[in-house]
Amino acid sequence: MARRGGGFVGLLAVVWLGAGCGEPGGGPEPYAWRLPAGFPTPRVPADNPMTEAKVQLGRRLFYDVRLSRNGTQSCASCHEQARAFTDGRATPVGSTGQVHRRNSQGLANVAYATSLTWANPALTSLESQVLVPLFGKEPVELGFGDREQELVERLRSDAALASEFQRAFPDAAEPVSVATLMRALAAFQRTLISGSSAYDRFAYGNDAEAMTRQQKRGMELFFSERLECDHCHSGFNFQDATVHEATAEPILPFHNTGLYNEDGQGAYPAEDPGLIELTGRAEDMGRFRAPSLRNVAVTAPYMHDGGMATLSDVLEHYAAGGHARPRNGGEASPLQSGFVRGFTLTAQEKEDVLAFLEALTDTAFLTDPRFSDPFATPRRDDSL
Amino acid sequence: MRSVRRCAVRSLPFVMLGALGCGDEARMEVAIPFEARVGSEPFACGRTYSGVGTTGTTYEPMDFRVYLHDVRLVTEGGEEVRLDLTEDGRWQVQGTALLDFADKAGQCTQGTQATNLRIVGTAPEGRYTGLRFKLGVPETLNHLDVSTAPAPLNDASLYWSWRSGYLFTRIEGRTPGLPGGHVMHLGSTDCAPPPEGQTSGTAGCTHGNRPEVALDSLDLETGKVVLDLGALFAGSNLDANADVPNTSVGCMSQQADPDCAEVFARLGLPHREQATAPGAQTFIRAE
Repeated sequence: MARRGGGFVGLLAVVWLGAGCGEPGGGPEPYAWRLPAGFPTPRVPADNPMTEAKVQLGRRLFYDVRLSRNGTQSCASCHEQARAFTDGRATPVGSTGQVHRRNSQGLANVAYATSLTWANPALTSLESQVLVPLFGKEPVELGFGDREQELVERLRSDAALASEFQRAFPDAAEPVSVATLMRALAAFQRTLISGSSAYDRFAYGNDAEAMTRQQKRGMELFFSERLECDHCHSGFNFQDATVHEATAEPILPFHNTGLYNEDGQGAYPAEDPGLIELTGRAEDMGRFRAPSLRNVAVTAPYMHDGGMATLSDVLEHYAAGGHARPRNGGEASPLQSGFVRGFTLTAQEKEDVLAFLEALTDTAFLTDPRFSDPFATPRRDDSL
Repeated sequence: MRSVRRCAVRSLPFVMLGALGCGDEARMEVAIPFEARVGSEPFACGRTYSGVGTTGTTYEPMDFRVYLHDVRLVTEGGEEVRLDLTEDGRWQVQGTALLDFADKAGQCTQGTQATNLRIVGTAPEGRYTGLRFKLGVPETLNHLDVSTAPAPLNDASLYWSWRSGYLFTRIEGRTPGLPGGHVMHLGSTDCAPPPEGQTSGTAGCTHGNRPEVALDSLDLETGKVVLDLGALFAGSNLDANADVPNTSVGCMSQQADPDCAEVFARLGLPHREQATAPGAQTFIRAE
């Protein structure tokens, strides 16, 4: 701890020096990515460059319950760091008690996601995504729908917070606004990068011993044509819908995994039919975005509706060639992805795959103080 | 384009070498158009095609992307001369090009809006009467990390894994019999684990699956290269999937998948389920 404290002092000194020198035209201190090996630089919108001050402000706001109208919830209420920024519920409950229909998604490596939320090809920036929980009315999340001014005035009335906005947005005519709020929250979320799991040490750190023999067997199965997992959970982020700085044109893949087939024709429950809701295209029935599998072992329950409690359940769904298949006389949904066609796994092989998925858990990320609640008081030791 | 410019950018010792080696060798730029068809019809996402495959089915495209490499021009005398593909930061890198015939129309929702219908490169000035290339990504580039590889090798939707490498073709379409889509993914298979002490890549693949395409009468001024899905699927039933456990709907290059036998024959590739050894490929022709 002493060592860490010393580091902070050192950092502070550098910051002070920077401020003292006051390089003309130097602008705010840019955010220093500390990207894991093998990770590309995230794409950052031109109108929201990453700065340290903005990231710090975003972190503070992310954990601030004043962002809900009744002061009961912050972003972190449904996105807990220890759960890779999910909430452990099948579906979340908003600040006014409304139960949502879709599972809280993790935020690890969300900077690389082509589109945000479960099935929205039009929602492609974290900045615009911020508006959904803040102002959405169906469902109500944080509850400021049609009350933007109330939110802005609330934040502005806190002088200390307003001056943080001022530091983060020195050129803004109005430092505290919805525009700056969404940019700061987006900037913080872009820093939530997870890339130091056992798998990363193995694959990118070239440490052949970083994964157990069982995890390596599971990895073989994960990447095999028999299981086909990596068709949708591909690349460094185990997610096909991935974008970064060097991506010329992002792809927007959505998949029907045969989870439901209500009418034998592939229909999903009317409550949540997936992508078709926004596109109106018949073939988009039941299509959702594949999530990243990083830290997946701590993000239960699973699927867009949180309908599966464990990763074992999820594996059984894919092994069956779609959860809905047995209930339709063994027939696959006509709309489901060709990659979901079923496979057989021995009990040992299943354990191996689960062990590999555990190797994607990045404990450093789950406890990284840079991503933690800045308002938290030192934690009581519950074991005493 | 003159070779002088190419030499001039080299560092000093190489300028000397260059001056000796290529000072009097003029080069020309070559652009070769590629066209996709389904039988006699031009290929386009959003269209449907009838009379495809052994059941004469209706085929609605979902994707059509193909990598190629090892591009050579052929002289009248039959000599092969390398066509150096021009690196453009998007479609061509290190002698490998991605052809992309699929925009985002119709069922083609998985790839990019942008398309690429040609290859561009330079070769020594001369008279050429043919074109040869291989489909796929060369072994030296086939086991990169897709997330950091240069374009066009950075598309995760054209990538299986470090060990297996890239999808050399991603050709997909739906039919009345296979409404979820028939896939034709060509790529290297039966790839061994990485060598000792290495955690990614492969020690080698048993089936490289890189078809050689030899178009020995192509007019570089007026000609084009035609990829015909009608010809590729001429022996395939696109309305049904062979009932073999753990094989794909369509063909993902598995030796165990009977659906691959006919389409591999059209690509000039051997396959375990073929009755006779295949002849030359018939998928691609010059016009």
